[in-house]
Amino acid sequence: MLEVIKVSEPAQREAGIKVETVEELVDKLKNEAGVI
Amino acid sequence: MTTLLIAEHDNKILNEANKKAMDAATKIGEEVHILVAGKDCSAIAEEAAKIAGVSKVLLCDNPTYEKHMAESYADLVVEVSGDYNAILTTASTTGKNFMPRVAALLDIPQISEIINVIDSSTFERPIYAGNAIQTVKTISDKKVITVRAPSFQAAGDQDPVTVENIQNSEDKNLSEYISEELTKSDRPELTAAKIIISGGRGMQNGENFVLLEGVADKLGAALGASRAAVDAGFVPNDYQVGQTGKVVAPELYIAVGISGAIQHLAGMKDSKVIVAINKDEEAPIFQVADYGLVADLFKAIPDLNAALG
Repeated sequence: MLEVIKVSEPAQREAGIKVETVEELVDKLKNEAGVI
Repeated sequence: MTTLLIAEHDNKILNEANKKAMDAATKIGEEVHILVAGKDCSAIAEEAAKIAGVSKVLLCDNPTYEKHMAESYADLVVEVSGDYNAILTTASTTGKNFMPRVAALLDIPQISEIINVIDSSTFERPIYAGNAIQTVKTISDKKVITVRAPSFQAAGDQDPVTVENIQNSEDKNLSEYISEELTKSDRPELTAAKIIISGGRGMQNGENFVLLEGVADKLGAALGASRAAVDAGFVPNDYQVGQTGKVVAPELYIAVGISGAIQHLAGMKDSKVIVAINKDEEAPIFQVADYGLVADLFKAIPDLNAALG
């Protein structure tokens, strides 16, 4: 009763950047991503 | 083509996930009704009546349904299901408990954890821990579906529609509620939180989660954990994010001391922004992180706490 039509690969998430310090991380989250 | 959405709630609060499940419901059927079953939950029904897209709310207020026990709940849903083409609920702990029972009683296959609606009988759902997306089509007249809420957009508000009281069926007393032990927390619930900070095996022990609590409180975040941390007994298993835990998609997910096993990624990779803090720069978590910090968490987390003021 359940027919499989297709199986596909999900969208892959791209790796982002590495930050060097906690200060840089907080700055990116506040000013670049705007999530905190 | 009417769809019935079974509301997820705890008799006090209507879970935000219902608004996302509503998005799926409106894509399946032209008309959507919501069933609210529980004890003293008329306020929940009134709230559900304001979710954009609903045309009627059914309220079954009865002590039998207070704890959403699968046996009595499924009987109620089956009884109400007669006029509906599709029956939906969120793929929550409760939904995953009673919905398979509904499907079995109706003798139709359940379509589990859909992440997209192609048309009223064709759906996408993740398989192999999210490593493949399967498109399935059903030929049943009736459909029983659980919805992976984070994959959908929350419905807006509307002027409230009618709430209709319905009578419950006789309880067959197949199961009895004895007691429950819940983790008490003032922090937001994992699946509803906008920010989540999770710890893994790298936390080393349960006491060290205090470090994350400080940051969580400053950010208004929920606390999560990887399966490794739960299995090691650091935190209770309702903290677990991943394939066998909760599937979350917050605005910000901070993974601390988590290597990023595929089963963990399956539960959080739809988060908007992912931050990874891990001392092993080869850890797979960095492959999905927007911002990676290679550092010892026992230094980085106190620093982060201080930096957040």
